Amino acid sequence: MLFNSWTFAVFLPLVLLLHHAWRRAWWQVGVLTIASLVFYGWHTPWLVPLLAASTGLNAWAAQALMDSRTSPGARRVVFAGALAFNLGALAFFKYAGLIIGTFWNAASSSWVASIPLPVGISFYTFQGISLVVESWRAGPAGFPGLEPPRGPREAAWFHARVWFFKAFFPQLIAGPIVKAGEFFHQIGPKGWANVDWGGATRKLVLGFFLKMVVADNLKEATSLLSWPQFAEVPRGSLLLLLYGFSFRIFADFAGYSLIAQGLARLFGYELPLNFLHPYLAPSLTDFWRRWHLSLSGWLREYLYIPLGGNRRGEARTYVNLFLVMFLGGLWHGAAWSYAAWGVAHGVGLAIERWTGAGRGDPASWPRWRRFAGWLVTFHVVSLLWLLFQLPDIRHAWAFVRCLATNGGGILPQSAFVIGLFGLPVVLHHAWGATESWRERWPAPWRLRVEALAYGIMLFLLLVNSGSSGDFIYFQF
Amino acid sequence: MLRPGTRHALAILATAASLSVAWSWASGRPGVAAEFGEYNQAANRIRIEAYLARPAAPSNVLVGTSLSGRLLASYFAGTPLADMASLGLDGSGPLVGIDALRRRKDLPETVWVETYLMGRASTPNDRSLVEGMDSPGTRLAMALPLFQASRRPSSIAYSALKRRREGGSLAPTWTTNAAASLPGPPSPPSPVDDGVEEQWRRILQDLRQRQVRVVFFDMPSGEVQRPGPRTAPDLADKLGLEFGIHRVDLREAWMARGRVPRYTDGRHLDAASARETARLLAEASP
Repeated sequence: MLFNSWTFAVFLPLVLLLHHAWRRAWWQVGVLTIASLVFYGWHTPWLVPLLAASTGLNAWAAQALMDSRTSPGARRVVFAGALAFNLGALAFFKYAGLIIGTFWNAASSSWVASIPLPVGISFYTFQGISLVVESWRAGPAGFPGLEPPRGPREAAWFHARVWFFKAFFPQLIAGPIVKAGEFFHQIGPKGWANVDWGGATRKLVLGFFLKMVVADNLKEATSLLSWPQFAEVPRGSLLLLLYGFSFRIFADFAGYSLIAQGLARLFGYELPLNFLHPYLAPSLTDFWRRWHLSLSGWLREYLYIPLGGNRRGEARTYVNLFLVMFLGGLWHGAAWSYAAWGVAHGVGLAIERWTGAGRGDPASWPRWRRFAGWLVTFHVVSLLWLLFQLPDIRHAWAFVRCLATNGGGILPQSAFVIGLFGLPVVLHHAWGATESWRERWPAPWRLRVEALAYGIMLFLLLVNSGSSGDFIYFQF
Repeated sequence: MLRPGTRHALAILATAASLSVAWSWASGRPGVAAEFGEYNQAANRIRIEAYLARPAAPSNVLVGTSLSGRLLASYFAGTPLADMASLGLDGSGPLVGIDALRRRKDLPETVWVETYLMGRASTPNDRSLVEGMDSPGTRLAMALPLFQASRRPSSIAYSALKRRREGGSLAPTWTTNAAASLPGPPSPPSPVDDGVEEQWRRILQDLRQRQVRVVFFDMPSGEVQRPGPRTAPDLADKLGLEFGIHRVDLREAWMARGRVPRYTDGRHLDAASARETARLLAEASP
């Protein structure tokens, strides 16, 4: 089910009313878990057993890892087995085609290539791994919100909460990726008074606005960014297309994350922040502190730091950085172009580390350095998004060649669409850049300006939405 | 007493509601609604909703691709086809236009079918248009004009800019070119996808039963000014013969006057040539 579908417009109020009908944690967790499974299996019911298998196994592993009766040897086996299961499921459903297609001939991979990618598998698998790792680290002490069960009733409640954590529909399909330690302590009875209506409304309005007004209206204009359509497009328009796609991918994904956060707040839950005005970043290092924070946080905590992070010497740090970015790129999709995208970012980060260009707090940099850094970072990031839209690296290279060699000029229609619907992304970042200045305004004025800004977005959402479509990150 | 967060949420809703009421009034004033969409989907929504929202079906409707989409309904003013409605759809074909016009209980007297892409089966773009017509959004737009595509602020701004840009160019832009009036070499008929011929046959039988007259027409498309003879009958020839349907070749009509229309991108007519083409179509009305 899509957040921007009519079905969801009926589903949400029903679930909200049912959830708040009885202020008992087990009732609310039950309602949300069942609703999440309905949400997930609405169009493809066969996906539910897969999610159930993943959840059931992770719940069992978490319980075993917290059980004081489990011997150290058995704990190691359970831990390794659970990790292997999670990574194996991801490898089978997502990467089998790529691996077999790369190392064997295409014919033998034909049946593998026909395995459909279960939507959201990358996200809920990472949450499963987070649960297993947290349970391994915590041991019999448990962690806040998830203590080892003592008795069958507590065991049932333990499993119910794990199912809820894995399936909670706002973040199930495209994140934000929630770490176990961030979520379980929030589970409890929720009343209408727990709902942050102001925060939820702001998140939902901005999220739906970014998705339905910005990304969906940019979709058709940026479809020219495909091979061989762009070959005849004049240089000025190619540059605009690049910016347009950059704006679209941000609006689409940040929009989804904000909607997820807003929906979670309606049920009294807080999901982690995923975007922090990423196109303001004056370096790639800073960009990764602002883009898809839940993924970069997950990779840092469960991959980069366990690999040694930056504590094992300079050479090992570069290797770790490269490995994390390579795998982070591959996480996005089963194609070498995604790996190339991750590697390119990794190389950029390594260069910044080596030259010291990304070091320190950018707020303390001279203004010229921040501007120059921003200009370079935005264009590097935008150029690298080409690999998302043009998975064949030769086509991405052809685009760069066309950018250099095609005739000048701009197509007025696409310039109008990209200019108009890209503007909100620029304004959103300008809003972020002026935050400290706005904080000095008197509170009533600030609230009035905010109400006006969000009111305008809601109005445009009603009258100026584009044709609804899938979210880009669903394919990951 | 409401909490500050709740008051803030209500202030956002109240602002949006006030803006919607104001916009409903402002965009409903004569001459404000958008005639053009800033991209294909928006343009198609404007045409389809304008057709479906009419109180009664017009006498004439044209269905076709973006080529005939250039023939705006307003270009037929003052001609025998003055009440023409256009379902020339960008990135789509005549079959979707037929689907749209059959969604009304009342039908037009005459349907003008553009022959280009007549033989093409449904594409993903066609399916997305049909899904759009079936969606609750279209039903909502029919009930509340505020939600119609022609009231989108971005389409209204785009239409105003486009009208301003083309305002001065309605003077004749066509040229005379003796070489262009020579017929091109013989060409094979356009391919017909599986099942499409049968689909047309069913449609034409249905329209005939409901006493709707059908006329086929060929649009100038810029690639060949005067096509040569077809090496075999095309789909429109076959169906025309079978159902006794008249066919108007607007490319011939231009050449007969010794004129070559002008195009914005080599394929789509500019405003002045489109207006003239609309006049030629009206003159050729059987």
